Amino acid sequence: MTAAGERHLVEAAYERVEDMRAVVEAALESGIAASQIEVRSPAPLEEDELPLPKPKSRVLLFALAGAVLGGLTAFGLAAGTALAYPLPTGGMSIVAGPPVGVVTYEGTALGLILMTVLRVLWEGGLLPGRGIRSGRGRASDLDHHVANGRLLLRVHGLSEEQAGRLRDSSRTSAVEVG
Amino acid sequence: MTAESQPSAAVLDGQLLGRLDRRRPGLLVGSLASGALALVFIYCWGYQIANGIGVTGINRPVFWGFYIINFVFWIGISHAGTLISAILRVTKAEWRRPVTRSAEAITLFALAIGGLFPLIHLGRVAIFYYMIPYPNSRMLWPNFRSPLVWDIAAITTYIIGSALYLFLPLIPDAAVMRDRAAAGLRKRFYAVLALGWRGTAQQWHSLEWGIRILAVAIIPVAVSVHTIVSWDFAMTQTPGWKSTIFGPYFVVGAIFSGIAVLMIAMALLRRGLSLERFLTDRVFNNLGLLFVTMSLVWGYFTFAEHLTVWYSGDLFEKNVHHVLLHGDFAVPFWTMVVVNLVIPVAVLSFPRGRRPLPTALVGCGVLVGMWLERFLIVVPALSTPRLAYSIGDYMPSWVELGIMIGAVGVFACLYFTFTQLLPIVSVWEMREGWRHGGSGEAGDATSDAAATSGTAAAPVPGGGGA
Repeated sequence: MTAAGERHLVEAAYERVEDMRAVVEAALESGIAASQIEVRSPAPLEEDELPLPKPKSRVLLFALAGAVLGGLTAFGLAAGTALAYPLPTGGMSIVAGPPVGVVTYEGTALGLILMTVLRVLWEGGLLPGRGIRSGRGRASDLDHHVANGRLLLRVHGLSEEQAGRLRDSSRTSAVEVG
Repeated sequence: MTAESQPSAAVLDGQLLGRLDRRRPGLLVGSLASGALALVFIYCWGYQIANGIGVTGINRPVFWGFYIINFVFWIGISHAGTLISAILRVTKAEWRRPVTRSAEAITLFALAIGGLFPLIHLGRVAIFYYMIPYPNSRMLWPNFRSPLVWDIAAITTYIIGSALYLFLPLIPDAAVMRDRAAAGLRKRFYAVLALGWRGTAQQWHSLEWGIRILAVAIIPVAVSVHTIVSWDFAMTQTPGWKSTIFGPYFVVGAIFSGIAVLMIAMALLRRGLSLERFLTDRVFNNLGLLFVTMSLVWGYFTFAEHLTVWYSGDLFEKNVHHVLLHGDFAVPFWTMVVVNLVIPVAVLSFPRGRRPLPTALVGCGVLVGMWLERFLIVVPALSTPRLAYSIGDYMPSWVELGIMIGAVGVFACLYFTFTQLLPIVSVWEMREGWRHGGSGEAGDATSDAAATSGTAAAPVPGGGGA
């Protein structure tokens, strides 16, 4: 419950997103920064359901980079192989377009897929060590509420007064406050 | 959560996740029976490794027998999941939600088994790594001009992509299982799978992006895999194989057989796990419509393929064509036409035929028919070569039969095990569908929940049509 020093953590589980929304709005109005607020849900929430900034993602960018990297690697492998071990081609080109094209195509797809998944895991703090460093993804005593279809609000770094106010405002609508 | 979705979550917890908390004797019996068949697979393959490829019926001129037939067959089945799931995700078909996980698992397991058959066919499986693109001990580099090497590239990409495409949407459900499980081995297992997932906004946002990108990327990969498998045949000069439409013909056949397995698996899951609320008649009706469409497309391709061969008048092509339609292979050929085209169209054209039991029975017939199709592509063409003195026949040995039947056991065993360990219907996607009121099943669930809680059920916008 109590974070390092004077800072406090308040957690509350809600049945309905509307109940949580009212508490989040009150918290923001009282001066709590959006970056201190973390929401855990059993399914993705719509963008406008809570007055919090939309998370950012660079998965698409990394996917495209992965595709380029995979394609270049596969092209290098197929074309380089043909050059390193040239076969008799009867006057036709050593590096043949169709085979190199097929291998490059598959390499492009593989690079895209691998980089997409790696980036998703990275952004979500799901790679080893990543979640601990970022301070997110820590287990909570109230996580079982999310498993049972409820929403969990976690507000970090609160002063004692802020924490007390937030707990009071949550008690009326939350299923459990921690 | 919305007022309507809260009781739905309770329904979900009770009826879907509760399945995993209970022991299911039927599933256990299924696992044991399929496990026994899997042992047949292991024994027969071990026998072949110990005694050499001579224990099979493969001989001149039929060098590709049951192993390659089964390779093509299983790779085809693998198109059930990833491709169908990806198409349904990309088109935002709401009724996909209860189907995708089951379909994606079929893909992964079928692909793993299909990928084993070329290794079995090698005979000396220990030197399979000669196919991997790196210079071997004799400094020979792989020949990228061979479609067989393209196969390795395509199947490797597909199996990695399919595994990740199954795994990524599984992470939130693994976290649900982790947080519901009592401390112990099961909890640790789910904790490893969940990778520390907590359901934060950033995690959901990144996951949705990832799934969206993978769904788009996996479709051309799936198409390329079976196209390249078809090129193993079409790039040769063998009469009966050299065809320009083999690529799309194989892809259509693969999707067709994939849907057949999906129909059977869903009917079994629905009954065995009492998932009527999730795998509704509506899901079967929609998949049944897709099924009959693929049957017609398959029929069109088959007709086009044989018409052009017949019309060409090419002597060698016509020899193969003759044994197929009128000769030694006429019975399997016409059986294939009946079970792949006549019966599906006759049954699935009517709404009563698109219920779980009829679709599963039609699916069984289609599986037989599609296996026969692969058999009729491989064996008649090889046993009827250009030179008359090399005409031969092919009879599979008990080892080949054992491996073929055992492979079904391996597949079923993997599938039963998966079903017992993880939610076979994606929990978070169902919840998402209910929250947005877009799932065809939401209406059922909310109505039921409303009936028990005394609240009004929410309308279902759009009805969740495809």
